[in-house]
Amino acid sequence: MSFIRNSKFALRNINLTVNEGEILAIVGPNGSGKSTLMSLLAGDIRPTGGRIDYGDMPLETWDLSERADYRSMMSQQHIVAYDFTVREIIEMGIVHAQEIMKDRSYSSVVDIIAEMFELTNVLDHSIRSLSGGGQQRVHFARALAQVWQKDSYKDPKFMLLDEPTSNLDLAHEVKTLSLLRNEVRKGLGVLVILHDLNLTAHFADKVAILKNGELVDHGSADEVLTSEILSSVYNLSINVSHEPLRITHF
Amino acid sequence: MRYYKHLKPRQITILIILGVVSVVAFILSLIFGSFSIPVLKLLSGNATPLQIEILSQIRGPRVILTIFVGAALGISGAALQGLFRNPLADPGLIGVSAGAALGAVLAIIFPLNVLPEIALGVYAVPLSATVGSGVVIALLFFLTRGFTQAGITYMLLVGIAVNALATVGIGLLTFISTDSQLRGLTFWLMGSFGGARWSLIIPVIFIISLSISFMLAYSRRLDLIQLGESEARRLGVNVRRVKIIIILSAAFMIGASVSLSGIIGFVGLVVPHLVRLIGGPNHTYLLAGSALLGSGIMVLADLTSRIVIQPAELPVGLATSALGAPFFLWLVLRLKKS
Repeated sequence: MSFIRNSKFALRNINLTVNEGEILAIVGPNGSGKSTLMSLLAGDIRPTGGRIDYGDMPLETWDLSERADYRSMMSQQHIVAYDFTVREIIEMGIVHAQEIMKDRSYSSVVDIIAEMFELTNVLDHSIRSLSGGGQQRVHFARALAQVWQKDSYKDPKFMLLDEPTSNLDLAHEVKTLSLLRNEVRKGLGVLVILHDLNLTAHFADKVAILKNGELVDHGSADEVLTSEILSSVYNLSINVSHEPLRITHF
Repeated sequence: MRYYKHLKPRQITILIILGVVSVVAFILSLIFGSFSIPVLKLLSGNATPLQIEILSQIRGPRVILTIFVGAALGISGAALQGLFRNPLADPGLIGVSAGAALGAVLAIIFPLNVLPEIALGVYAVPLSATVGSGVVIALLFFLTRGFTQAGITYMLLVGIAVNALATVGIGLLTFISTDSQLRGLTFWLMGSFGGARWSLIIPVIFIISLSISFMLAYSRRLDLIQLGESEARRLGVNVRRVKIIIILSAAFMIGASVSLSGIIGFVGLVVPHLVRLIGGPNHTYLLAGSALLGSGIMVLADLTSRIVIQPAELPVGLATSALGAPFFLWLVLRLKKS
């Protein structure tokens, strides 16, 4: 799949698959086309060439509400107009209300997800009263609420996350990615843009490296995160040691 | 997709209170006026034919029109503030009121000169106002390619330009009007419910009711739009359809309202803010609350304008603007602080 912007390739011949029950991390320098790739996969914009499939069907054949049921997307920036509470924001993620209402009450779903993100105490606070990191966790919780299933993901569900932990402190970052890992174990598929290569090495099942809109390499973290590839992609001398996988540049 | 609509218990209580206030205002407004109608006599069947005539043919339709116009202004303001994600949006801002005003003023200054055989009579001004607002809606629609192009700022700028053009038109017409025309024109521009007749208000009630029901059906989608248009689309909202429904509903209801009542400022701007302040920003509550409070405030404003200098009548638009403008200023200062 390719995407042309201002008669230049923003993305060129990208061929990637993300499966249920795995985390595919996308890494690469600024401006390498990672966020554009997310927008294409979410269906915000159309590829100039090639195609995107959700399951076996091309993305264009899915209507907006079917897409919302199949995948959620968390973008980098969130500006909420007006003073909604944390509970109201998480509720906005629950777009398949009928389905969820079948076996449990609507607010209990919000409560379960809030607890996962340690937001229970601030559920009735205004989202604007939270710190940047707190707000980011609320939006993460909303994105999860959109696709969340309790015991296992019977229908295929995916999350597209664009730097979902950029404002979080180290502890919250690790906790949040761990709970994501847990959802993936239940069958959720995740595509995530990360900058921290060590976190990527630890949490991702597969890694894809982008540079200048092209796919440099993709595969397991061990295969892809090598000092040759990383040093050339970032133009920086980067060392990689194995078992456990550690990436250093000092 | 079925969206879950959530009303908090507190919001339900507020809606009930607002409803009761509107009903009380409605009853007071029927009783009081330059010609007062005693309730007890009316209920016991001892009212004079004149009293019944006034109630059923003059005051009744007037108060009912007031309720609907108030609801239309309140809910349109709330919906447009939600759609534009901008607390300063107002039906007047997209130029629809100005278009209606220009249409009405044209009809006042050139009363049937063009087609003297067709006796439009009392319908001339409202029809012309409706055509005026319709022209503005069509213009907005084409300039923004079906309300989709270049976002909200672009549309507000188009609205400002349309407003300016309409003001020039009204100014020119005022300049060439005769003294007696000028009097009618001025009164109309300041807003009044004095001209309400059953035959005139029934179509307006129909348009407003239909538009309100459309807006209420889209309230949850307006909530999701507060996350941003692309975010709402990812949550399954057809943002373009929401825009078309909300803008057309607002435009038709405001066009219809202005055609009979003239220009009534600040209700559409101020009412949603009050409702949001007391109960929160979610649109399931906000739209219903704004319609109810809009009605209540409008009925009370009209009642006030009828009884302050009896038997004369103060233009109701003056009353609402006199109260609304300082509130608006307070709002701007408050926004600046936060």
